Amino acid sequence: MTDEILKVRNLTTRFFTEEGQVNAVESVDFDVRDGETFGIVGESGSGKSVTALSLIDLVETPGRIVEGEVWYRDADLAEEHRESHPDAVDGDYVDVRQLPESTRRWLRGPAFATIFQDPMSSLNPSITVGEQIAEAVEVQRRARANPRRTRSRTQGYGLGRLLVDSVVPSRDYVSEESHERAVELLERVGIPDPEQRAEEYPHEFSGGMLQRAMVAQALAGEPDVLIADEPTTALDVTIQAQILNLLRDLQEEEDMSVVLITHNLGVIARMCQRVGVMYAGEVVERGALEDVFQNPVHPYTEGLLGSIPDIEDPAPRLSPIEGNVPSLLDSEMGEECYFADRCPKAMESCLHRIDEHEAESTVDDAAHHVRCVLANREYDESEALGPEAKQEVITDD
Amino acid sequence: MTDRDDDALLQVRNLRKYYEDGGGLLDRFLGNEATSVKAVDGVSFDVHEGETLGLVGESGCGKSTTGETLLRLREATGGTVAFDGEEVFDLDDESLSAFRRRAQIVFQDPFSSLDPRMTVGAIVAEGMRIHGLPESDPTVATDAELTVADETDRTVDVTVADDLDRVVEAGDDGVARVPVTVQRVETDDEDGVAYDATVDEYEELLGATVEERDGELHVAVTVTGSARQIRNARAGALLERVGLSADQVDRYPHEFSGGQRQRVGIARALALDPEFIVLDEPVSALDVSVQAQVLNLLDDLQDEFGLTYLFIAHDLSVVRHICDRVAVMYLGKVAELGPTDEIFENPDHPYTEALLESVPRAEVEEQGRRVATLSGDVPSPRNPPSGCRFRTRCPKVIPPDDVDIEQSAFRDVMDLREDVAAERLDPAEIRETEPAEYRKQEVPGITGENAAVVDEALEAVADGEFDTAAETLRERFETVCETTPPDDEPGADGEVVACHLHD
Repeated sequence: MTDEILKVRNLTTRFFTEEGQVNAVESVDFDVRDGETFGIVGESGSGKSVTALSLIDLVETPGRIVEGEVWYRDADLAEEHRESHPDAVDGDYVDVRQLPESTRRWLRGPAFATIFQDPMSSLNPSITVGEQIAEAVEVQRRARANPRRTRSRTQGYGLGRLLVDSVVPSRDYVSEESHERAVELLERVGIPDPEQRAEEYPHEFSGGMLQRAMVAQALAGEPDVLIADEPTTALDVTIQAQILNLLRDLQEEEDMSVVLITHNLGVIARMCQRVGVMYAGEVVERGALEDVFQNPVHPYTEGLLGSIPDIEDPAPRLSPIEGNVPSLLDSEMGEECYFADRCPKAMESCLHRIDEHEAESTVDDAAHHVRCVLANREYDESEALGPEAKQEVITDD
Repeated sequence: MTDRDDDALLQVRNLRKYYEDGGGLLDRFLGNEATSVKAVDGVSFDVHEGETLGLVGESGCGKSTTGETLLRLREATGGTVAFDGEEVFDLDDESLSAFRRRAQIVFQDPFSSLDPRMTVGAIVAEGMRIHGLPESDPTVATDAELTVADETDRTVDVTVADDLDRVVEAGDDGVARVPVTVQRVETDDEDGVAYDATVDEYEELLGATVEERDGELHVAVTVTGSARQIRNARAGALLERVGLSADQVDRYPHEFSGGQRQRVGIARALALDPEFIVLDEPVSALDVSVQAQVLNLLDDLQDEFGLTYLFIAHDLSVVRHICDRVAVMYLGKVAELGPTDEIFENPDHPYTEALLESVPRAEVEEQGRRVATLSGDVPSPRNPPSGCRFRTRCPKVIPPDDVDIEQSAFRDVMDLREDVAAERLDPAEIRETEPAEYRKQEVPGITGENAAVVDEALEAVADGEFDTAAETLRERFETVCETTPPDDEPGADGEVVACHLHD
């Protein structure tokens, strides 16, 4: 099993807020293979974005990754840390979370790069697009030259810097090569007239063009894994189609792996080979696209698929999931399956913690994991929890 | 289908809404010319009673502005809107108020469209308060269903206050009825007998008194609740109808989830018993599982109250699900309008085709599907393209009759013409690569006379003479799509295909 670039195990992220502890991501396991697109799909508040941030260690306070391992395959890095951090190395894999902070920071770029949902707020409005991409290139270039010092320009602003800058004419942080590379990157992502556009500010770009610029910036470090968090949610469908085509082309050319996070099941279907469905901070079902979409086992996956109107065959009535997304406050979460109170197939055995089970798979070489008791048994109506019992599930908490 | 015009509840004709930009004192001082953003630029359609018309398009196409302008929430720049035969833009204050009761709106964002300082009960009841409701309708008769308990030994007659219909809704026969029970109670008085009447519905708002005259019992039912109490009770009933609970009237919006807030917004729209509701992206902000709940609710309410919807959305699957007819908008105009099934199964307009093609389907067959995408972005509504608005991106743009050229090559030529007109080309680069060579790269599919004309134009560009180049290209390649706007008036069948290919 060496074809996985990333193995995530037991990843748990919590937010310690004034209202209490929020279990945003709970024991998440998944693998990302070389050159594949792995999809994470879920509704708002299901923890998919926090999972992405946890992968690259960008969770901000009051959030904290409390547990879990992120195994990343890099033989050189493994060799380098075999002596100093024996626990963090396993064969060719290193556990990114146990590496020193400086190494982790250095990995952002050549190992992981991210694009976010809203390109408008992800770019600095007062710096030209070309400059921002060039800066990303420059950071990578300097990091490669000297891995110890990876300060970007925005770090280290302070009184001293201010004084130096007011006396000495401002030193250009970004070199000429990086500027040229930035223009190349803009051309790569299909921006017409890249030299001209590189000089423009973000507000002069349309939403689709900005998202392309974001992709260019992410490509600056030639990442192994591109994490795309709702990359097309803010875009119109025709522009969305352009960006999805672009992502797929780049992935093939660069041989990247992509972790695609979205709430749109259609985008998942078009882009992903394997997919994980998240609900209330847990991955409730994961496996090959065929298994999850055609033979869903978890009632939540079924419900999600039943909730979307089919554009080709309009059913007279939708079958939504009743109720609302549960609170993720630790004090309000019980021990039972988090979906039990909305689940049409809730049974007695759902009232305690459910582990991941392996379910039947129709696809070779792709395991189908489900966090549901129905993974290896049939639904038995005689065991069903009545509405009263379900109500108790809620009030018990 | 021919008499469709007769039952059009809403008739929109050539509706226009421009936003003026610039032209202020400072702009004039600086010599900036006023420009207008043509958000809605001549939109015509009908909405028939009881149907759901979908208004669909990408962001910035003017669909929301259309919805708000036709309700007169924004002042229109031009055009007419007739609601049930009355010109909405000519209404005086009084009739405008009546129109507002009949036409309501539900907004997209359930967070910003509810006042955070009002309870949801007050939010739902606000419209009723403003319109002086509850009021009594003089044409509605009132009556009581009298139940006389066994031990009552007198003849009983009942009178009901005329304003009972403030509380009880009139039935199909135009009569508001309330059940009343009369019974005999033992008392400690000298006769030892008294009679008591109770109203079995709306106990808090209605009262019944019994009087004994000439050996007969007279029961009088009156409205005892204040207007405020009646409104509150109705707000509670509406919240229940949209799937919340009546005892939530005293809660504040922040205590509700997005889906629940959208239900509050729907209850508010229903409070005045409207006939027509503009639903402005009512489910876009909701998660799919909740979205499905709200869509089902909207369906049920339409059946129950006989509502007519104008459903504004960008999600085509939702539109397919809920709409009877669909109008596809592009850059302030209607591109295509027709019955939902026809639009989705046999789209006639190239833009509709491209839009439908782009939607990712949630099914396994979708995997790896490559979509033929439209090139470029939507042009600016400040300066929309002449003729057909879609011609700058249309994959089926029509070549002139006397020019023999492949479709895809003609698209490339048109893109080149755009670049020349906007002076986006770099003369130095063209000079360096040689015009003919540059043409082979940018417009590979052309030969003969076509190629010669393009080369000539590129040579002019290389000399920096963009105007000459643009003129050379225009002479040869001018298309009907840029000279003539396609017909976008609804035909006799109410349908629109604003495309020259369809003429």
